[in-house]
Amino acid sequence: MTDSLLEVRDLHVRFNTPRGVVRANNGINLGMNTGESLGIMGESGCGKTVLILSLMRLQQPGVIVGGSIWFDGREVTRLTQKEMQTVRGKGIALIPQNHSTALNPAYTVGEQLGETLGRRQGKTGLWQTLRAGTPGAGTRDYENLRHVLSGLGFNDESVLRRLLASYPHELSGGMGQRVLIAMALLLEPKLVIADEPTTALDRATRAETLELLGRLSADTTLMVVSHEVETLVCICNRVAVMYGGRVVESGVTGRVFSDPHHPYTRILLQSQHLIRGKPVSSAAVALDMVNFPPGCPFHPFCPEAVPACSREEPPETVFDSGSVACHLYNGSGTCSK
Amino acid sequence: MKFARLFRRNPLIFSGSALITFFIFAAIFSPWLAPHDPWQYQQAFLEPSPGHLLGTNDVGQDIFSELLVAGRVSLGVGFSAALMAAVTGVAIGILAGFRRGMLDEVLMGATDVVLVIPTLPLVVLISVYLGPSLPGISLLIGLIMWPSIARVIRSRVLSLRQAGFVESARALGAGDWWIMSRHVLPNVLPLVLAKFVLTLAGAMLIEASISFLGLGNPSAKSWGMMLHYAFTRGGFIREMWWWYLPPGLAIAMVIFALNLINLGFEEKSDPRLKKVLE
Repeated sequence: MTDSLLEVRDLHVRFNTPRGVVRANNGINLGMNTGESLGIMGESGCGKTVLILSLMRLQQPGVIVGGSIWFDGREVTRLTQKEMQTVRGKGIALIPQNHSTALNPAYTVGEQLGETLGRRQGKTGLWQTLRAGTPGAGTRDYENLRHVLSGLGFNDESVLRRLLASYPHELSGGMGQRVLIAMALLLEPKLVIADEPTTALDRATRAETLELLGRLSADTTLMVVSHEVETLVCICNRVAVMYGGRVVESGVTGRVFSDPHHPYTRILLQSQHLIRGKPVSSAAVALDMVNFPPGCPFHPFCPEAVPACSREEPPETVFDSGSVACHLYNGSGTCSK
Repeated sequence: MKFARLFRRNPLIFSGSALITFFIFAAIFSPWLAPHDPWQYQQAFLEPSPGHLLGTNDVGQDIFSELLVAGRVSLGVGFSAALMAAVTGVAIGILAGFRRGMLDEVLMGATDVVLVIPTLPLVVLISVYLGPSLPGISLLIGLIMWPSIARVIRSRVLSLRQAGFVESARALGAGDWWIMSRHVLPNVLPLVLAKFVLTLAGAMLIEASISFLGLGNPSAKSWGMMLHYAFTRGGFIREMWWWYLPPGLAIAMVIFALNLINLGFEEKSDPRLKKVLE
């Protein structure tokens, strides 16, 4: 664990809503080493997005009520907002899920990428910010841009120029997604987080983007959040499955998909027809986040529940390269049934 | 041909700006365009003639020359007041809408207070105390007119601050000031432009009103001031239409032009309006 980049310990995030307290993250444990690629999987509302936003302290109006996040030797939950601005972008960069809203309609792609480059060089004064434009051909900034963009498939000089001069609404889905990836990479972050990178894309561009992210994961530390199992299989060497604001199972991708330990993981994989078994409709396992059940959050829907499941929260059992939080497993990592 | 194309693209904005450009040019080049010195005393109460296109007033000043020169003060006061109102309104609107919380409450509270004060009586009252100085009047009008701009900008910023690009800028490490100046400001500019035009019309009307009431600067000619003299020195009673009609028409035309531009902007932002207009 010498090159541990990210270490999340017992993270609790809550939202105070008129309907009651929503416990979006409920004791999350997660670790990532430099160079690794981790996939976070789970259905909508399981707390995936809140988790990644919390890593950057952008989870407002949610409140981090407990736990710690160590990133690159710093305790993120204790940093001031000013210090957070150096973590965001240069430390952790987010690739947003939808390019049509994540780019400012008032600027060309070149101007926005130029702004990001300026940010890397610390040009954050008001005047410098307002003036940030497309880097001119031949400058060092332009070479930087070309280097990153050619890695994303914009090899041709004329295509590149056209891309830089176009406005966000002129981009196709795949191009927009690549611009967002470029924007994150330009900051040379230690950790790149992709939030649902393929949901907004059609099938053809999805395959393209998956291939791109797969290549990317070879030389960057990448965290991918998705509810599509397929996406994660292509990209990640480790996955964590979330349910009810907890990591219920984690491990090497191959092991989790071929031999899922937690009943929820099995149901999730069945629902996407990736393993044999009757698919369960997702409505049947949707959790009410306000009236949180005691014990294991999954026990009301679990086909294998035992009496202990509704009484106490299952401890997280850690074994060689993963963990599982379920009463059915004992310390040795084998099923007690 | 280029003009024709511009006109076809948006006749409202085109004709409005053509009209306002005409008045601005006339005001800027008035010293060279005016046939007489508007301050020079000649024979009083002359009727329109080739020598004096619009006749002369009670002290024998050429009314046509007066009309040209007076445009400088009317437009100048209007523009500087509207500019001040726009800058203040945008700054306060963005700050309140983006930062929210206590700052928003305080700023919007202040905005509402200024908004509910009846404009004209307040301006009359204060201008009596300030005395008749042109910068004073512009400043006063500017300070009265920013709240409506601030309100409109704030409501737009409220939706912009939730926009995806604001969140992604934040996720890449941008601070509040950065986002406000770089990402929020350019997206409210079209709105500011439309609002500026309306404010300009309002500011010119207020200036004309207080000048007409005799609270303007008597040593500076403005259209309102001309109306004031035409009224107090018997222009209306003697039915000297060439004295009181031209300044009134000039004010009406400029405000008409500004409203045309504003209508054009609105039509552009909401194409459904076009059907109503046709």
